[in-house]
Amino acid sequence: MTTATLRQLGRLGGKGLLHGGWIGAVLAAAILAGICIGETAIPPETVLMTLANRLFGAGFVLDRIDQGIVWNYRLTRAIIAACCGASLAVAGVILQSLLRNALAEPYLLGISAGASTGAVLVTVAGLGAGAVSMSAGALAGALSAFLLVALLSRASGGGTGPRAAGQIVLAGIAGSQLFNALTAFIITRSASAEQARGIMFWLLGNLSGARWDNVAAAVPVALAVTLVCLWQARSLDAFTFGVDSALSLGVPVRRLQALLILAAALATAVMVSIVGSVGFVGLVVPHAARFLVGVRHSRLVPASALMGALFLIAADVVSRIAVPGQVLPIGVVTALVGAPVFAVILIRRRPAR
Amino acid sequence: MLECQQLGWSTRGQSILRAVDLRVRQGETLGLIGPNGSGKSTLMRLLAGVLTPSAGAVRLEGRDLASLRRREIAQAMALVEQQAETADRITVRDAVELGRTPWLSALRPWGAEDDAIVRSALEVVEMSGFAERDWLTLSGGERQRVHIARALAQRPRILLLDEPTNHLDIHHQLGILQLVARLLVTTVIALHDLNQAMGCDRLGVLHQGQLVALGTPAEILTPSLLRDVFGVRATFLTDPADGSRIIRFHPLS
Repeated sequence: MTTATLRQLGRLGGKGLLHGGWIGAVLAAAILAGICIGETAIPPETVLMTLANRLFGAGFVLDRIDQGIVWNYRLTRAIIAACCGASLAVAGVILQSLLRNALAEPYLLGISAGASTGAVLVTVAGLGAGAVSMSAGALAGALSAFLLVALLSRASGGGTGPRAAGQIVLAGIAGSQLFNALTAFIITRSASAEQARGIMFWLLGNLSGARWDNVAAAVPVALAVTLVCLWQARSLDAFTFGVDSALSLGVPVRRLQALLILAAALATAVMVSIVGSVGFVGLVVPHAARFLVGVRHSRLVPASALMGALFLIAADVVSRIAVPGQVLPIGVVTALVGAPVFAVILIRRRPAR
Repeated sequence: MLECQQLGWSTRGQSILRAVDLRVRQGETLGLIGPNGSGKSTLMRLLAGVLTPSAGAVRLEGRDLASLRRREIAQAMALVEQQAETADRITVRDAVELGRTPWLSALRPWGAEDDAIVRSALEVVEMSGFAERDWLTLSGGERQRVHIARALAQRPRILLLDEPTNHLDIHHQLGILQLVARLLVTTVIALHDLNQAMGCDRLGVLHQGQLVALGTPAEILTPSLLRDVFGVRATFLTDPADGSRIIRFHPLS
């Protein structure tokens, strides 16, 4: 390796640190806002003092209940929302790029539905007798759903051409319906009425169950999927003119597809098993990010991750304060934003000729 | 340089290409001609390593393509497809920069050298002034030029062009062919227009998935071959402007 290359790498590392710095600051500010805003507003000083107490043992005198709300309830919630948003947005970027399809997204392709089925199979029907974790069940469900949808769209003449855009969404609808029906079937068969109500609420996307052990799972997954995707940014760029073009540019397409689809499925599965299926994040965020930073993945991936995190923190705040005395499922909020965006993309994608 | 032996490809039990033996010589422009469905595109894609042969093998500088890494293949060979399109909002420069993909990695980031290569590739195809233009605003001919620039940015030793003049108006067809003729790289080009194919150093003729003839244009483009392969009667004229031969086609009966 030449010194020039080393210097270049050094500059790249410096740039990474610089961007990492401001992205971290923006995220921290958003999480702080997410903690403060709520049905009972908590002043930022209280939040910061609580964090200081917990993290550095600062010993400020504070109301124990406030401290509890901040540390065990709102902070975990905001962190999980950020991780979930980032993961789903990056999963959307991956699917849109690999499938060359502007409408590809974990929720629309039925991957979230498959993950729900897998999670419910483990928790409610007791599959694996406790040896299998909910996330592992969700991952198996997510992968089988993707496989089913991919095969179905291929069998219906999809492939990767422009016509495939419609086919794969149709296949996704079929997949979603099937897996949602399976989920409902499992719940009706195996869950008590009390359990069923809880699960139904969770399925629509619900952050109120977010605890510290979830944070320990969500943060590494969100970081990993973003970094893996960023590491492969150039290869994803090479798909601009389709799969054959990527191959002739030296991208090991099969291996990359396997790696990234596994990453997207894993991210979706872990987030679904914590939050339930939150739709449209993977659709809205990457499109907004493309609008702001362009289509190059070296910028699109970090931008999508950041914007996804911010979007879901904001959606969570809205879900808590929109209806006084009630918490909306976060999936309802994202769908209210996402469905119109979906419609706009659909209209703008109509063939120009 | 690039050769194939007993190369075959079949899909869904149907044989598309059979027993093709071909050896591309250093520095030449080898044209591939043949009627629709004769297997030109399939052969191009097999040579490029985009398709995996069902029989036989493609060898690049003596080594089997199957044993090479994708990256190594892409550093030696570039493919320009018939019509590769995108709906992404990219600039001309973005598209050409893709050509550097096989040379870059996490340990070998983008550098000044890459900028220079992209700039010179744009110069070769005379699109320097278009670098910041949006892909979607380009005409078909301009897009094809950019694809060629992208292929050149790969710094390949062999360039594979699959009917690069397809769907272009005559002005742009001639422009692309002139451009290809100027390039100093070994080229394999699939062509539809037989008069344009006259400009190649050698021609290979594909018919029903087989390579039925290989030689200089003068040896290949004979009335009997044009009748047997393309199903036309041909008469040869001489252009009074420069004395070159032109083929005129008539229906058989």
